[in-house]
Amino acid sequence: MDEDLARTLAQFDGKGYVIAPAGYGKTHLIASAVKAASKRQLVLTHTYAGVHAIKKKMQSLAVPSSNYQIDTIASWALRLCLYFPKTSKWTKEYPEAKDWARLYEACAGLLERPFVERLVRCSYAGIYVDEYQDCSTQQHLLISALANLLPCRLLGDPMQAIFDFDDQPINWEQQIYPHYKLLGELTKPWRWHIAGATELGDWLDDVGKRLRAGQQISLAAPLPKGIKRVSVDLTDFTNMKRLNFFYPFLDHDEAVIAIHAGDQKSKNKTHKLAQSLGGKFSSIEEVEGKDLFNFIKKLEAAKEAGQRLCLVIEFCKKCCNGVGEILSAATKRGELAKATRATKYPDVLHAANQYLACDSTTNLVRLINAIQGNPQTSIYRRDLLYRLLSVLRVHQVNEGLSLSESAHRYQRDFRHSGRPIRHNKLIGTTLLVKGLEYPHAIVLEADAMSPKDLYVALTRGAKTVTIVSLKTVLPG
Amino acid sequence: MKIRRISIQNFRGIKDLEWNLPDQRVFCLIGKGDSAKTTILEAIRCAFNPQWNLAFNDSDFHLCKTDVPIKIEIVIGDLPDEFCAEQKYGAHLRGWDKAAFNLHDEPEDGDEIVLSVRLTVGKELEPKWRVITARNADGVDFRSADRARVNVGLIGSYSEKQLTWASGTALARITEAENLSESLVDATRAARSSLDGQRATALKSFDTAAAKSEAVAKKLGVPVDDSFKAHLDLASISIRLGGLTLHDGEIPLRQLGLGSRRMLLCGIQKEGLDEQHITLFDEVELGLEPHRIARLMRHIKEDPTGQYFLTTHSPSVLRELTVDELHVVHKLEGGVEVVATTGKDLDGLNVQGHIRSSAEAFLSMKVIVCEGATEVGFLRGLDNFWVAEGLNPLSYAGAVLLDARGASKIKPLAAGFKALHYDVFAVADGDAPQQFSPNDAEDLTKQAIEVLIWSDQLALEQRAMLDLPWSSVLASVKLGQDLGHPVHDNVRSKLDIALDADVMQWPESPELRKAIGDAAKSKSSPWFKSISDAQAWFEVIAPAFADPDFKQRELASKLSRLRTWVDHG
Repeated sequence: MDEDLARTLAQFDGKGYVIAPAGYGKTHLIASAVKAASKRQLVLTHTYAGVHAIKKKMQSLAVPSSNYQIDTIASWALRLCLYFPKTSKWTKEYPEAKDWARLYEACAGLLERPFVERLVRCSYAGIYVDEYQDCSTQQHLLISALANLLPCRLLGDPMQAIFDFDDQPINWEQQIYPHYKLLGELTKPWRWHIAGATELGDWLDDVGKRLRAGQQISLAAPLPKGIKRVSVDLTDFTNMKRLNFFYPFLDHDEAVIAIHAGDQKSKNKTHKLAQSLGGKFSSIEEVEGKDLFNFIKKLEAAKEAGQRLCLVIEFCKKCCNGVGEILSAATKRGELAKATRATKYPDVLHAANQYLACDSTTNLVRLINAIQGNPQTSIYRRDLLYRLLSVLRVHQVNEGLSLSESAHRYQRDFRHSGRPIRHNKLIGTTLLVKGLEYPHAIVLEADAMSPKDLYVALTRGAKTVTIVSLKTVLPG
Repeated sequence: MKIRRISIQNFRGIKDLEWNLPDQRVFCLIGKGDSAKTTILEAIRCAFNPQWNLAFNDSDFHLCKTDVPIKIEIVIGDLPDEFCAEQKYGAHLRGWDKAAFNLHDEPEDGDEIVLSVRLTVGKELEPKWRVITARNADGVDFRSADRARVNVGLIGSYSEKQLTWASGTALARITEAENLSESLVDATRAARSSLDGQRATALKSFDTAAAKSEAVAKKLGVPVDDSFKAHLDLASISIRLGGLTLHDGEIPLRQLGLGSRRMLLCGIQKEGLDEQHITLFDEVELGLEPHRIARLMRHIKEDPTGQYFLTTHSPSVLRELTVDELHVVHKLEGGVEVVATTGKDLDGLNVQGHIRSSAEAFLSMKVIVCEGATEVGFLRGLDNFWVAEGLNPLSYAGAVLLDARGASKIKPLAAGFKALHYDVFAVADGDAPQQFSPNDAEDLTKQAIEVLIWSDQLALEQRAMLDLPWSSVLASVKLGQDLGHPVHDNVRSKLDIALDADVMQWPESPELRKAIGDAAKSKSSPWFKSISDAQAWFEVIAPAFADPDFKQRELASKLSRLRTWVDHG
């Protein structure tokens, strides 16, 4: 049945869309549709993780690589604008967050020029845009301009449209439904069937339908296999017993994601939670890495060695437990410390003194490694600390770059390479994990979640979902 | 694909050339020898040569100066879709404003979409092909397969290879095979098995030796599975593609006449599988009679798929072309220039008519515009005289005599050739000021055209009879008489006096000189009005040029200006 839909997509030559809930084989649909096409298709998505996932699916379905080009909307638009800087009036090779909206406008303008039209028509025979619910209004205008030139098929799920407060999401009612034709809907929860969690999949299918209809879902027992409800109040977890439900997840090696809603308060909570769990679960950072850039800015602005040492210690404390206990009082004050017989960790002390003497990157790396490698400390913001270490590595091998330039260079690569973290028990927000898939998901403070946040959070676990809520009817 | 602009720097005879091409299919390059016409064709061929290891040497550099790289930059339009795709050269598109001959780095809305292709060769002699823009000066590799797609074929003087299947030949291009070398292996196998069939005759003596070896092998205990025999070893005796050549029956077509071979090639080039082609044809006329030239030119003009670049030295070729197809190549001090024979400077000059009537002049570099046949013949005689004196002939300086056929045509013709960047010298009579006046002469002089006009409103004959020594004047009258003109009556109609029956006895007088001059050029019965008669006339008076007195006179002194112009102008 989905193969029929793939063929429909391949042959369609107008503007259309497919409603594709999370885990329903959207990537597979794109790959089979592209396989059925006779000419090259442009497949656009939002993240490099998405690009990678589609590429892998193409390869596993043996789609000839001449049949497609996969890219993020951002990098495709940027590339096109940079090809013709005079016409697009765009020369910035590495746009910052605030630049993107203007870039998309520039690119949409470019697409109206006859020669760009020829280029696009000669390069591709059609377009697919994945995760359309993640498009901003400007991205939508850009895609509309493309859709005027080529057959365009959008895949997305308005139910998964969650945004940071300052982004302007597209409005499906006004911008999609009246102008694009509904080509079909994916109906089978493949992700859970493939993972052997059929009951979970079917339950989520039902949940999805209810939430879309604006209805509530019930968590009253008995729940089907793979679904568990934990009734714990997480507004305050000074009582460590409340976190006991996390520990059974440490008994196996499979990846686990604990998910908070995406509001600012919940974001901070992920780090506190990770800290309380002693780093057994590690919190993840936003892609932009605000905390990292703040630290680097301060470090570069600091005028004295002592000041710098204090900043580094403060940063380490932000990432690890137990940092204060392993440092001598003088080191903590940002002063040269003397090793005595009482000094417990002379290597840390020594590294701190070395950094005071000379603030080379090598010395900084040595100090951080001495702290995080110490058996008394436990790291709980691995994502943040490892990103800093990665930036320092870039700085070490590129002598000409300043520290903040190194950070920007790393940030560029980061969009391709992903988080520098191998630890697989993680805590994040719905915004950070949308589109990603884990064997096990824990939905934190589910009572407080909006229907969309709730749907995104629930659908992250392929094998089990644990819901932490006080109420039995959600959204609360 | 079509070429829109050619820039060449430091390549062979060309130090610097920039040529913007009008939107047309046939370009015929003319100009005197060594004006770098063939070099332009070679440059085009190199820019689109699919060979990765195209060989260059020091002599390919202008004046062998290898410090300055060879740079050939060609703008191509009429692009196939594939070239416009992002995966190929989409990022490097540029715009060509056909009307203004302007290249825009990024296309504007009315522009044709084009690509700039650049071949550079530095002193390491390694050719590099790139597709470039101003915004990306390094550009990207212009791949061999894509160079081949432009489908440029040169039909030059050494084209024996062209009737083989060697790589890059027109025959190879029209062969419908995925992989030529593979098909060739099949051909080799076939050759092998057919040789086997004639073993008894063709391989007899070889097999005898094989049988002896077999006996030795058996004696030494070397195992023999079947039997020893002579055979072709596919690994070492493979037929090269160049070895496969076009035959008519048993006769290789390379034995055809040069002209036929080249015509055939031109036809094959058009048959290329890729519909579009650019064909370079050096010295089109080579080996062809005028009627076959006409046929070939028609073939070229009627082929809608190709862009043709021809060079020629033949008036027959020129006569088959229209003005907008003609482009004059001039080699100047600073570089080479290509000038179209159409354009606003040339409107109303009837260039087309002159190509028909005076094709030879277009193939020279210096044009002497003569009022009529008398001047042409007279100057021909003068040219012969100069050669006898040990001076260089006019042709050595690339100068050609052109018959304007009337005083009124002198001015437009001289101006027209000047506008095409030829050196021009005009020779006019002074006796018809309403057709060619001293004012006209002054206009031409302002355009840096040398003008020779006889003073006192006199024609050449009148001037000559006044200036020549008396013996030469009488010799002229005698020639007129010998040519069958009633010279007595003619002269007496101008001056009513008694004249001796023997011309040689006529007494010298200014009146008689004038009467003779008037009679010689009279409308009703001119004496030297054909080229050959005028040439004969000059030969009769030639001895006068040894007379120091005569040399001071106007006729001789003005003609010596012509000499100066021929040598230095």
